[in-house]
Amino acid sequence: MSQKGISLFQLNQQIKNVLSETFTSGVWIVAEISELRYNQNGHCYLELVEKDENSDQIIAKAKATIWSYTFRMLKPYFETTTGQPFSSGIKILVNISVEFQEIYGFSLNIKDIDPTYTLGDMARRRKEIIARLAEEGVLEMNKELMFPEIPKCIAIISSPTAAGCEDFTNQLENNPFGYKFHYKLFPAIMQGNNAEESIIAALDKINEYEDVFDVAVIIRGGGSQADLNCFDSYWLAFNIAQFPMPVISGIGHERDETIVDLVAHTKVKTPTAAAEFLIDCFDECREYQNNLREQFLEEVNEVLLSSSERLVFLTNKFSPMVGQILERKSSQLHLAKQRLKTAGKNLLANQTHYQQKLNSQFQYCTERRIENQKSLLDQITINLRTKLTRRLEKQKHNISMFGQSVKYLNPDNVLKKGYTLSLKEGKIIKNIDQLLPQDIIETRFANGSVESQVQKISKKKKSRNSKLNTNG
Amino acid sequence: MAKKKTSYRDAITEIEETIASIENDELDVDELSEKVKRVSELLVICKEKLHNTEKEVEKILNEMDE
Repeated sequence: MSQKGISLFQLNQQIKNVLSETFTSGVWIVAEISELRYNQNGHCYLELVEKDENSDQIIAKAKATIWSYTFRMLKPYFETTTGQPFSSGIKILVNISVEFQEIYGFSLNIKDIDPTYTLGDMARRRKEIIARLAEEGVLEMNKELMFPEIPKCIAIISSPTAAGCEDFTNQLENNPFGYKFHYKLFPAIMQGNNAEESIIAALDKINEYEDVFDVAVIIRGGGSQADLNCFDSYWLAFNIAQFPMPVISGIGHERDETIVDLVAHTKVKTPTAAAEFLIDCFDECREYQNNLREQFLEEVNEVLLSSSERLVFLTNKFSPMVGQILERKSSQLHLAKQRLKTAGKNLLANQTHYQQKLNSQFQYCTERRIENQKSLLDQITINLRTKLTRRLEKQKHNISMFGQSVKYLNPDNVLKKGYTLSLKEGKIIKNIDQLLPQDIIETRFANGSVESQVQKISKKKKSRNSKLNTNG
Repeated sequence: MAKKKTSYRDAITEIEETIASIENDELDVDELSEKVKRVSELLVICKEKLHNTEKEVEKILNEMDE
């Protein structure tokens, strides 16, 4: 097992020699640019790949260079012819020389390019996929969905670490009018060979919450342009086209639109633009609401204005009418007043007259009554006088008769006739029972009196006459 | 969710119809103040749709993590 072996350098030298002998002049090759960068000197470094047409798997890969003096002419030539930037993700037909350096190994040095191939290739591939989608009737399906008036709830398909994803959510959160969005990230691989499968898986997950979300956005920011190829995938486009809610693509690239862009409901350039688009929808709603509000207010004002105009019109019409009525009524009133005055005067005159009549009647009656009464009174007076005179005379006669009687009854006259009065202690004795034996009594006579003492008392038997006589 | 979507549409439609009915002189002045009240309410609902967080939706979104 003591093989001598050759040095690595020797090996590499041998390879170099074989290669330079085999590839003496330039070779036209077809390849896809998967990566591309420039250095400060203006040299261009690329990675060229070839993919299996059916599986899309990379089946060949090589490093390539374009030296700056070539690149300075080649780049503008390519770009003006194809109308698209010389960048990764495109298939090119280039004339190369095969290079091999002992340190850096195998690489291709690009000397010339045929832009017409790229044009044709891109167009052909796109056409094929688009034709297939159209044939299946799905190409326009997502576009035909009604875009929600207010895309409030948003499903995001993006790589969680992508700057574009953060740009998108920041933009939504910091919108100038303070709209509120609901969003949810469904992470997916956004580049390379696994992207297609990963994005479709995310779409399936969102589909489970079809009722919750209004729209789905597929966003991506930065990364190699070559990786955009996954967005030209037939299967991804097929899924997106038939997705039940509108899909917004914001993949962020400069080349012509990808198939995903084509089938998506709405295509925007960048994640930020996607957010702006959603905010614009809100703006539109807000503006529409404002318009409705203003329109409504205008209509209301108009109704009020026309009502008030009508009111003014009616008032203007009404006032003169009222004036007329008032005038008419007031003249009627005036007339009535006049009539009332006249009638009053007449009534007063009538009443005065009637009163005078009554007065004179009354006076006449009164006078007649007085006359009657006077004559009645006169007669009474005469009657009274006659009666009084007759009575007076009768009384006079009576009085003289009384006088005669009184004269006869005077005790002096009685005494003169021989009767006496007996007194005890100044009082006339009318009853013998007043006296006791030994009592001093006074006996009055017509011409004097004597005092005597009672000796004996002899009571008379009761007889009215005798008693009367004793007293007399 | 579906209900809320229609309620926004309903609100907008009702406002549009109200405006149309005023335009077509179908609205009595007596009904006006009531309509003004109703439309302001509807406009608030529409505005809220733009500016408010819907708790129910937030909840669903949060629960998706599990």
